[in-house]
Amino acid sequence: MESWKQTLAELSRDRFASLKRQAFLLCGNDGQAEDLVQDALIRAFARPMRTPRPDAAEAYVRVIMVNLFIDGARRRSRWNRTAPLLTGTDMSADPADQVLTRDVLLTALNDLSPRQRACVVLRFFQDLPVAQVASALGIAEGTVKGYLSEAMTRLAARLSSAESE
Amino acid sequence: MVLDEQELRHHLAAAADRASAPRFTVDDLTGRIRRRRAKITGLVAGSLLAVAAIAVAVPVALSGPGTPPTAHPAGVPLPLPFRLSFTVAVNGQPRVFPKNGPPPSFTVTPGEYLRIRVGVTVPAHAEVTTMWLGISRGVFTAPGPHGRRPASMHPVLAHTRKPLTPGLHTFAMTWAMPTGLPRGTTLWLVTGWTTRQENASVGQGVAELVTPR
Repeated sequence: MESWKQTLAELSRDRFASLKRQAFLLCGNDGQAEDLVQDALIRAFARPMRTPRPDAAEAYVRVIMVNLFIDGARRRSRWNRTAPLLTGTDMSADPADQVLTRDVLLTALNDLSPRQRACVVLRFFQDLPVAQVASALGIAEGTVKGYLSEAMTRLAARLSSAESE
Repeated sequence: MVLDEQELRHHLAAAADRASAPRFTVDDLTGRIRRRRAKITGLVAGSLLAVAAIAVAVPVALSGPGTPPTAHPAGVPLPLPFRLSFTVAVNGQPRVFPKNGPPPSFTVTPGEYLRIRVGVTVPAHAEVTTMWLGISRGVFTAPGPHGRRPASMHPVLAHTRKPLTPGLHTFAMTWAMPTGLPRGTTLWLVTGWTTRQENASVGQGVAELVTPR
C-alpha cells in the first residue's frame, strides 16, 4: 500500500471525528464542516508529504482546514454582498441550522470575524499556544492576542445577554 | 462580564459534541485524492513542456539577422546536444533536483539573506561556453546572441565566460530576498547557458524561491 494511503487509513481510525468537531466549531454547520474536512484532507494528501506520519499529517490537515475556512468565509462575504443584487430573497433557511442556532455559543461565535473565530478555536479548543496559532494563520503573535482579546469581550457580552434573557 | 478561559473551553467542547459523526469514508477520499494527484502531475508535465518550448523558442526569436532562423514546427522543442545536472543548496539546505522532475522549491522570507550554492555538472565530451545564474520572476530566457545576458534575468548573481569543461563546477552566491513581497510570491533562481555544439542556447529554472503563504 502507498504510504499516503496508509497514513490516511490510520487517520480515519480515530482522527476523522476529531477533525470534524474542529470543523464544526469553525463553520457552525454540520454539512459545511463535513465538506471542509474532506477538502482539507484531499488538499493535504494530493501532494507528496515529506513526513507522512499520522500526527504530522493531522496537524497539516488542521492548518489547511483553518485556512480554507478563512478563504471560504472571505469568498462567501463577497458573494453575500453581490447575491441580493442577482436574485430575490425567496430562499428559506435550512431547518437543521435553525436548531443549531439555539446553541448560545455557536450563535455567539457567528458574531466573530473568521480570523477571530479561527483564533478562538485553535487556542481554546485545540489548546495550541499563541505562537503556534500565529504560525498556523501566518500572522504575528501580537495580532493573535488582539483577536483573542476582542473575541473574548464579544463572546462574554453575548453570553451574558443570553443568560439575562 | 469576564469570560473565564476554562469556561470557554468547556463551552467549546460541549458545542463540538453537536457535530455528527463523519459520513465520508477513506474509500471516498482515496478516489478524489488520486484524481487530484493525476491532475497535478498533468499540470506539472504540461508546464515543463511549455517551459522547454519557451526556452527554445525565445532564443530563436531573439537571434538577429546574423543567425538565420531554423525551421522548426511551433511548440516542438529543439533537441539539446546535452543536459546539465544541477545541485542546489540555499542557506545550507540542499535539495534534490530530480532528473526529469521540477526544480526544487525553497521557502524563504522577504528580506532573508540567502547563501546559494549551485553545483553544475557538465557531462563528458561537452563544453559550456557561457553561463549566467540569476533571478527571474518566472520567465526562463536563454542568453542572447554572443552569449549576452538573458533578458528576463534580474539581478544576475553569477556569470562566467570561461568555458566550463566536463566535471563539477560550483557557484557560490549571496542575495537578499526583496522586502515587501506578498505572501505566496514565487521567484526563480534561473540559469542561461550556451554551447558551441549545435549553437544551442538554453534558459531553465534551477530552484523555486517561495515566500510563505
